[in-house]
Amino acid sequence: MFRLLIVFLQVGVFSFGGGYAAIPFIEQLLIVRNEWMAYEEFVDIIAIAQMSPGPIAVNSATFVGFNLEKFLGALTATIGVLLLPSLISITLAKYFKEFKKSKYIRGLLKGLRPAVIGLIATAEISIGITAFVGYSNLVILKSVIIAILVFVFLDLFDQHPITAIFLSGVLGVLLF
Amino acid sequence: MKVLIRLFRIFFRLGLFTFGGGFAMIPLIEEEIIKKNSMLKEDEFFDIIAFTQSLPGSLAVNMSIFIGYHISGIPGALTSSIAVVIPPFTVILLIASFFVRFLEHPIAQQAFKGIRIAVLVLILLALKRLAQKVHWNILKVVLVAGIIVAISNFGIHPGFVILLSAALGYFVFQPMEEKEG
Repeated sequence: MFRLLIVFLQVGVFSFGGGYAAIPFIEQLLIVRNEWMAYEEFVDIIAIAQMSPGPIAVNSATFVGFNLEKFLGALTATIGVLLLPSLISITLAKYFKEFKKSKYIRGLLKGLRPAVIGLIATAEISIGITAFVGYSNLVILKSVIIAILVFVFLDLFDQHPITAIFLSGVLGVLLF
Repeated sequence: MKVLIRLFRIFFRLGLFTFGGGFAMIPLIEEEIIKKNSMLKEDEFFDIIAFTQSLPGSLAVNMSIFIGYHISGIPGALTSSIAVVIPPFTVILLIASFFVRFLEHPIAQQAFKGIRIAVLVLILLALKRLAQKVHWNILKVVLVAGIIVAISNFGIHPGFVILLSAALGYFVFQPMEEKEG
């Protein structure tokens, strides 16, 4: 339980920029270092987090916490992921006006933005490997077809992620 | 107290109806806080959006804290952030309690095979959007490649990567880009 709290404190404080930024931390700390869940489970949680209300980091924390230690685990992980960023935000809310135009913050962000990209890309590669490597060619072909359809649907037709998830679910049932 | 109860009710609703993360909350906040209740001005809200994106943690929770603080100080910040988290926490608890049994069904397994592919594409598109916000140069490309290798091959802690990159941004990228103008 204590480990759970420590891990989610880290996920909370290091995930800059919200949403997907928490993914690489959950992946590294929960799957690679602690083996608390499998890649498939993790990807399912991301999908569920997309379809249910609330931030991905909070949803993942609640879900993983519940899987490991039931209600108390869910509560511990959720408080853990929220605690440090909330303290930081409450402190900064006071000095908001001065901070807004600060050169320091802009400087830090210049490094943080590419770092977040590198981190998410790392997680994406690991998730991609578990989705594609080790399957028969036919399964890989079907997966690529789904990927292309979902990409076109989201990027060119600008559809909502939730609709894309439903579409991919239907495609999964039809093709697999 | 009246203000806090109102804040709680508004942010509880926001938490319940925000699907897909912080950015999805922006239009709802505009409707509920700015237009209906005029508790906040539009330009103040834009400043809050810009600033919270550079903070750790979830965008939705951080925005709630800033708006709550703006309206009613620390009690306001606590009220709005707790209210915004209760609905998703409850929903996920319910899903987690029933989800495992649901997943064992063969049709659900097929559906989730497809959905996992969609998640890959969603993350890819998020990467694309983030990449468009960066003023790229060769050093930043090297940084991204270095991070991928450092984490997947050498198991470096991602928190270390965040701290190192923030320092790089401040000491290297910022002065460099100022010189370029």
